[in-house]
Amino acid sequence: MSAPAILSWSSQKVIDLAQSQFARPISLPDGWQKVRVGVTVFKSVAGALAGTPRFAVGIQKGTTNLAGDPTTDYWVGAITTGANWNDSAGFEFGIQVSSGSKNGNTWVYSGTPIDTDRRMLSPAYTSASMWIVDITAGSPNYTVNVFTPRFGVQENTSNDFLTCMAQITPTWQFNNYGTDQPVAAASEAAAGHRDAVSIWWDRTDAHLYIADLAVALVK
Amino acid sequence: MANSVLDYLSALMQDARCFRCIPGKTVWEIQTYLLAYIRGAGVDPSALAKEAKCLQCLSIQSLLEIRAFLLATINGTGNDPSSMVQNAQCFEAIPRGDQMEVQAYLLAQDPKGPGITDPNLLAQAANGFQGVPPTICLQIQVFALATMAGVSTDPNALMALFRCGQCLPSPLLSSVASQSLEYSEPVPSGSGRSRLVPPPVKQPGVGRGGGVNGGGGGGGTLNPVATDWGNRVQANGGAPPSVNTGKVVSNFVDTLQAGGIWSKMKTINLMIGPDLATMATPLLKGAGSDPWGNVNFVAADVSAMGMMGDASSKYFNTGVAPKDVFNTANGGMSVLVPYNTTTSDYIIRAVTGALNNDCYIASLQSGNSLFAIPRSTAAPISQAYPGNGFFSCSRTANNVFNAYWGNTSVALAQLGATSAVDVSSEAANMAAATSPLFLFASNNSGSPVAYSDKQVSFVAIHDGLTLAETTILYNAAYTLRLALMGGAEFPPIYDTLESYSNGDALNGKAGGARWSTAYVGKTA
Repeated sequence: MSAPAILSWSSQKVIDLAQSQFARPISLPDGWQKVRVGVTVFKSVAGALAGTPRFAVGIQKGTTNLAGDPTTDYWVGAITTGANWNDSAGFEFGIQVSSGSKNGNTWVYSGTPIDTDRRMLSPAYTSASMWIVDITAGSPNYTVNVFTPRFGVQENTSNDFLTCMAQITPTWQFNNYGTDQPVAAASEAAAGHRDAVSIWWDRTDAHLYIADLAVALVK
Repeated sequence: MANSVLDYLSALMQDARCFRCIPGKTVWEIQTYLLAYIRGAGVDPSALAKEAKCLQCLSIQSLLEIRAFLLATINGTGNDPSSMVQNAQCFEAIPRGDQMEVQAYLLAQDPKGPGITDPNLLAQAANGFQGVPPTICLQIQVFALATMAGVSTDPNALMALFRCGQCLPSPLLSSVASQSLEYSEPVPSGSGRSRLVPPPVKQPGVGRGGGVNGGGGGGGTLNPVATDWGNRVQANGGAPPSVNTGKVVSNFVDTLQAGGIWSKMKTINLMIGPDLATMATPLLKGAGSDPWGNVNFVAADVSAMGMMGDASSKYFNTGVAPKDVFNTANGGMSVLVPYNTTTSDYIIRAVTGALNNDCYIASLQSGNSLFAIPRSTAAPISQAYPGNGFFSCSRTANNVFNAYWGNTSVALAQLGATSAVDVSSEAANMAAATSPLFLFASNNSGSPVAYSDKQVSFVAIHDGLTLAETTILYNAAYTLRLALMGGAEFPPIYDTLESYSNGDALNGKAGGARWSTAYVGKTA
């Protein structure tokens, strides 16, 4: 467990997450309908993970009670929900991702995952791959989907990543969207306007490196 | 900054003797006053007072309504206290943290404070958002009282009048009572500070700091144009613009005025949501309609990115007839198109009878971008589609007509060559151009044709502008849309982290493109 810090890694700077989390305020406009949060991410060591690793990418209200805290303020986004991450040569696979929300101390996950086989790079590669999360506001349910490696994995430069972030429907080799999954979450009116991006990783046996972070309003 | 906040709060606590300094009756008067505001101009606080069972309290429902209204104003969400009240099961339905936010927000208005207008910062300084200390509550109430009574704008001075915290001096109480129990517009502070109290839903306005009503004039108030827009938005049935939107709009007007081009603007629509009424309410009405005539748009068409046509039936009638704003030597139009599809269409256009009074901008018409004011016997300026962005054209003389284009990546520049065709012979045609400009369609003598499927996030009809003047408008439009995080070609805010040093703690780091805030990093 350690507070996230900057790490020089493979000729770039990354945020080193080890049972840690971060948030950053954003200013979403009135009536936003769809917001996108994206990162490029890399797992620090090879090897499968068991015990339901939690990697969460989303938005929430404020920066006080974050996704990984005992009490959370109106978080909604995508979170890994599978018991195991499988390991292959240089990447992890079989990562189950669901839509999720948390207000207070209880997580809510979509009944059906967005997908059961998302992928993430690990050593043998030297750059991260993009994980993009689209969050559509709704009442009572929000809808979440992810645009991540699925058919394979590929290193993404910051420019690759930002190109996809700026497309209404991004396209990239090896990446695709899963299935939109609704999740119950407090409406913007009830939540009082979510105003921060919030990312959490709950493990220390493998660190996650975040190489880029971006937020875009899609609609 | 954090230290200054703590110092400020600490000083407040030292100044205040106790929380009970304001009598219950006075608290009640403040609440009644707020409630009267919320419910509109026709509500008499005296009548409200009669509904109350005692002078010590309003009904729980009324208290909830007050706090819901303040919360909606602060957060810019919902904005309809009635619906918030209906959704709430009880007074506690508003989270305590939000109640504290309301109080911190009000406190942020204190000009004696550290200049922090972010209620989160104040609330964080106040016991981690869990509670604003009672002494701070006192300060808030005194400040409210000062504004309401109009007898002083300095809460500290008022607090100095407290002898033992049991009561205000009777003359002051009488003043408060007489003013608060007889409904009237609130008295703005003499120091130029924003008003404390948000305006009623039915007494609209957009305000700085105080939430929604800046009242115009004075340092710290909104530009009156923004306030007027907020009034008209609500008169047209829209939700009260949020504090953030009010500030952004005010800054936009300030920029145009400081740049010397405001007087050249004829009609402006910022294409801001969150509802159809707001979207249809022009910032500057000019010779046009207010609201713009909506044909077939529905609430679901409103987006934080602007408004998008459907290429088949939906458009706005601006009400602006070219004859009223253009002539053969002067005229201009600008639109921001953050998202483009492929339909060949016109973004904004009107033609009456003869083609020689035809005025338009087409971002993508048969593959090209077209500009005309007016189209004469010569062809319009036609250039290959340059990409999503800010399209503008200006006629500054009978024989000088230019088109401009730029976006968030490419600086504004002239698009194509200057059209030097002398159109002075079209003066009679222009004078007969009575059909108003349509947005998202071409107005062909009253009939909409060539519907657009483009997204539009800014529209201005103006005098002919030079490149330098157009650049001011372009910068202001993008500044506005970026501040609203929508409507500027979909650019993400991002951080590649390369500006940081190895080993730095993430917490507090601020960098990246278009971010204005810092990370909060912590263990989990």
